[in-house]
Amino acid sequence: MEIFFFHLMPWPHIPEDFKSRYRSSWVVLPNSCYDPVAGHRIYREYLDQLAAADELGFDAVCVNEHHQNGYGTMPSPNVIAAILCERTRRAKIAILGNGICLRDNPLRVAEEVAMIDVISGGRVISGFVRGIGCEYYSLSLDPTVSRERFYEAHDLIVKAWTEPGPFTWDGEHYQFRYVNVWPRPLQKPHPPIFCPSQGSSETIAWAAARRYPYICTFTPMELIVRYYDQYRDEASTKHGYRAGPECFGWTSMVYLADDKKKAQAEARPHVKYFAERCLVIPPQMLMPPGYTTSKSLRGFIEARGGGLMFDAEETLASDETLIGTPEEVGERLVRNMERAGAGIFMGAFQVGDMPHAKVMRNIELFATKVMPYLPRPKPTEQAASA
Amino acid sequence: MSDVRSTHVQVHDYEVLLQSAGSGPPLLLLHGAGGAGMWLEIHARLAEHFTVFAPVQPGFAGTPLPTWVRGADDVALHTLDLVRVLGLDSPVLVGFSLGGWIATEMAVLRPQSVERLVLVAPIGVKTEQPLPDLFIMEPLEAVPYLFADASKAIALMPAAATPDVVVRMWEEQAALARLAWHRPYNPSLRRRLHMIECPTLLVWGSEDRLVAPAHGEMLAREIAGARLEVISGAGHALAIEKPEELARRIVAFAGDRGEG
Repeated sequence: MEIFFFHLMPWPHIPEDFKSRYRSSWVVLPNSCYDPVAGHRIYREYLDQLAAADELGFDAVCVNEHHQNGYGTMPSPNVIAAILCERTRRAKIAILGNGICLRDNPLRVAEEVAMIDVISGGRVISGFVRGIGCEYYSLSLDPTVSRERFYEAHDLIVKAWTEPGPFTWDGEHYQFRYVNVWPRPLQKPHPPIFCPSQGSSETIAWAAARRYPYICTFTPMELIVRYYDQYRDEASTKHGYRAGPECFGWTSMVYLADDKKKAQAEARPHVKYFAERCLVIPPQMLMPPGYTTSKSLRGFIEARGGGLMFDAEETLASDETLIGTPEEVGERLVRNMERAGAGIFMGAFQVGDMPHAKVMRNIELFATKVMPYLPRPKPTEQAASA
Repeated sequence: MSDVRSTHVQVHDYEVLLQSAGSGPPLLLLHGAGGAGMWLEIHARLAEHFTVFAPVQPGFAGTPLPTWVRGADDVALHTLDLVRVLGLDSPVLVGFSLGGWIATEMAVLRPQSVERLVLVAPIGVKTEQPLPDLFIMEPLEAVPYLFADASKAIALMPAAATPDVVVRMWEEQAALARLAWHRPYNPSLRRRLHMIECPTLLVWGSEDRLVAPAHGEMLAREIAGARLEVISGAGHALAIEKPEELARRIVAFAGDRGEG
């Protein structure tokens, strides 16, 4: 099992009563709620947490892209990834992912990721995402062409990374006379591409066709199994390969203490903060018109009632959740990974407004009391800069 | 009143869903973001004086939203193509809200193909203040922007939000989003308004809280010889709120050519 350290970099001071004034902590939550002075300290703490994960033996540190919200203060994942090149020595840097179709020029992503790959000595994992529905409000981008733009941006970036330039790209959504990306990425043929997604059948089929590791975030296990089974089925029946654990990730928040009750009590306020402040997104913002196909929307309504289905108390009480003693968490983790058939675990060790000291203790407990007992691959030669 | 015919008309590579009824001179009626594929009181009243043709714009009422729809001009040219296929000779062109945008583009692109133009609270030309973002609202939250009398809207609401209903509403929103997501207008259109040649009637509801009646005054200045009429007590959806009065004004304006 590979262990990834996942961070959202949430804003920990979303006002408690914001829901009475704003429909969401995304798009319309006034940026006067952001305090840059506190923000400076919080960024430094979050970076320290990511650096600690590298030192403590996590296989990768993960960053991601979300805009204009209190849920995650990383509108540019590549900025944080670039900092992590210097703050980490060994771990892979997983950008999960760049919202490639959110860019007017996806070649900016090709350039930036190639830079980070070269500087880090080939440690980059390059996730590609469409961004969640809110992004289309925040960036005034037509959601009805999101999927087409995503596919085309992907094809363009991969071609820019793998074929000699300059060449001309004359697509439906993007046209560039001279595609000639400097620098080229260090990894061959290009940095591994991951596909974080919410389970639409079109995206599963697309990822399976390319053998891209597929990761559903914050999704109940029952749905994960259904989605990953579709991938496994597509792989074997249409593409002639067996999709093993290396093709799948499973994500969870993690919180450890010596005693189960204590772990739940200590995690509770932060899980509630995450559910009740970070994830406040009405359906029309989660699924703007045309963001997915009618078929997938119907599936989303039938499977999840059109909402996010993340409830703090349910999560705390669930025996899937990795909140408890190291023994419990280790057992649950192995069991969940087996159920999902997943080989990549992505843990969120900082949740909601969890303060720095708590996070650091949490990471250390996991690294010393859980990680050594997990089925781990043999250490491999790390990238050039290690 | 004669029966309403519902047909599919092949226009190049796209099948248009079309409702028609009535007799008399041709009148092409372009729906707004709501009401596509519905034969409402306003249609019936106009069909007493005209042969009313009410096509469904691509993506509405369960029809596919093709990739070639990139902007309102694509829909306008497609609708002009429909007029040609139907063999309509200079119809009266009536557009409600979004349909008013399409009608404006048509009258600009082919001034001579329109006999009389009626724009009912049209969008499509940049407004003084940005329009409120209906896409971010809950369905009920949008009602006060569209209706002076909210009870008129409630009557049109589906009884239950079944998956079918939700998916259909969402598809129609997507068809609107393709044209109007980041701006509900064509930035070039205002400068082109002087190209409209036919007599033009603008109708507005005095209580329109989506597009203020003052916008109609601006359009009336920019379109040569246009007249603005304001129906008091009606909101943006005046075709639903005041169908009788709206029909009367359209007939008075456009019905004096070769009746019967």
